Amino acid sequence: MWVGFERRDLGAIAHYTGMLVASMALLMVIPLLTALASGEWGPALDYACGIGIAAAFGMLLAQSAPRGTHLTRRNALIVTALAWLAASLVAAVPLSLSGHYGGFVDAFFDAISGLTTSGLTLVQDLDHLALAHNMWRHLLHLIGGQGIVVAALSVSLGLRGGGAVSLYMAEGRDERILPNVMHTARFIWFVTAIYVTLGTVVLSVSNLIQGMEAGRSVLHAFWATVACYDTGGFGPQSQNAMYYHSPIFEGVTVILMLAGTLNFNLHADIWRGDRKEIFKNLEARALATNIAILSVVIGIGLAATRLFSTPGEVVRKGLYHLISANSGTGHQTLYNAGWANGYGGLAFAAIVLAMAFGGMASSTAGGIKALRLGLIAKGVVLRVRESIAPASAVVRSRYHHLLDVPLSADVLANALMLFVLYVVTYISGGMIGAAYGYPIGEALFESISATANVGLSTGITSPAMPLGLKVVYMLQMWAGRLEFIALFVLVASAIAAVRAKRGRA
Amino acid sequence: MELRFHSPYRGWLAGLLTEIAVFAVVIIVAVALALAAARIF
Repeated sequence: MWVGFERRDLGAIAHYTGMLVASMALLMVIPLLTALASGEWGPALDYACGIGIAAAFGMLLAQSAPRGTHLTRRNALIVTALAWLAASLVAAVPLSLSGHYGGFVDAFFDAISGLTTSGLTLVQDLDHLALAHNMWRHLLHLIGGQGIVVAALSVSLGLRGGGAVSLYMAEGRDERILPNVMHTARFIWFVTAIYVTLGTVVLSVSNLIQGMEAGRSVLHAFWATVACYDTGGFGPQSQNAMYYHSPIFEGVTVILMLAGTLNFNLHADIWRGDRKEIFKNLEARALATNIAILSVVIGIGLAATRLFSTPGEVVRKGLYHLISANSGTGHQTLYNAGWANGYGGLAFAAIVLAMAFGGMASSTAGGIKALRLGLIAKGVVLRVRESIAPASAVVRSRYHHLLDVPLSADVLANALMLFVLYVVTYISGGMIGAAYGYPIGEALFESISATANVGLSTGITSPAMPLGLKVVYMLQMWAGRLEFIALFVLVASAIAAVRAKRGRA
Repeated sequence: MELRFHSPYRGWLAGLLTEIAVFAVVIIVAVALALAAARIF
């Protein structure tokens, strides 16, 4: 049923969106302090402006309804969809003031890419970007990877009461790890803190061994850890992961990418002592099978090339990108032009499939998700078993994902619906890219990279690309991160509101 | 029936080490498969 908005609905939506936007002002204090500590006075001013605008905009919206206002499921989905856009809008303010972007749209593109943990970028002269701006770009990965709502919940930022649970579920986190949603949010941050600390320490040592100056070693290590664990893909250098030329760096970041793509419910089960869960879990099995099959494909594909056929190249240019693509990270050890020149069709296809499939649900990864692929495979097997069984036989299927669950028609239909939505979006974006004159293979690669929030690029994503394509990729990153439903609810609700208004007129 | 809730915070170190070991095995298997495939074909 199409239900319009009442005044109190709009008030509640504005209130919660405002609270989430205001949380961005708090977060901007970190790059501000970075700027002050490193004597970057210009960027410090950029963040002072950003804090002022985010706080004023957020608090203005938050005044629309009293604290603790009840939030319905529909309104929570709308808040989530709007909050990701509004947060990106205010996050873009200091970036656009940096002088490293062609305009506000380009800065907005990077803010959306950062928050959705995509990693596609339109920044110019990245190698000379201020430390504060690099800190901000990577913090966007951190906050976006954990989820804006989770971040706000974990510090109890005005979200206690009626809205907390609805918002948490609306952000695509369908299971509660701990009985209380606030405690669940804090556990997610606890896992992140452990991995980020460990990754930063190990990569700092690796950078020091490579001859990097101490302070820079730690900053680069922190940024790389956040970018990989949150499956983002930004880097402080234009050459991305290739800048480090280090097998240790690549090995550690691959482990961080896999940790980032692990379902938070699986983290919780393993940390509670149920270590067998990772071997029984349908989603973990589906992801492992996916990586195994694509490893063989990429091995065959690269063996046929002249540039990347040595064992070292197969591992460092092949498998590194495979895990980077499958986890939705987007760190690359290859020049953008390398995908089209020398990588080979089969290996290129393996990377495209890895990006499209994505990592696990309830993690920081994007894409179709291994759980859905596993469910669809189970559904196919079930249909085959039904077809060969006697007509009177009742054939059922079960799967293990945290619990033993019967495979129901509803679960299968939901997995298939999301699968179709992702594939349609991948193909549509590719066709739009081709319509702008880019080769279809590269256009499809870039479209999948944006929708699955990966960040690998063939070079189409650049400040010089057409404005229309920038907007398409921004929409794809936003829709892919929210898994479409929140976006559809927003559009459907807007239509319903217009219809209701016309009905009254 | 008594319902008991196990906190995931208590066993975090063993859990972390288990996860890292599993990731290492996944990477080793993937490397072996890719290199074997590259060699055979």
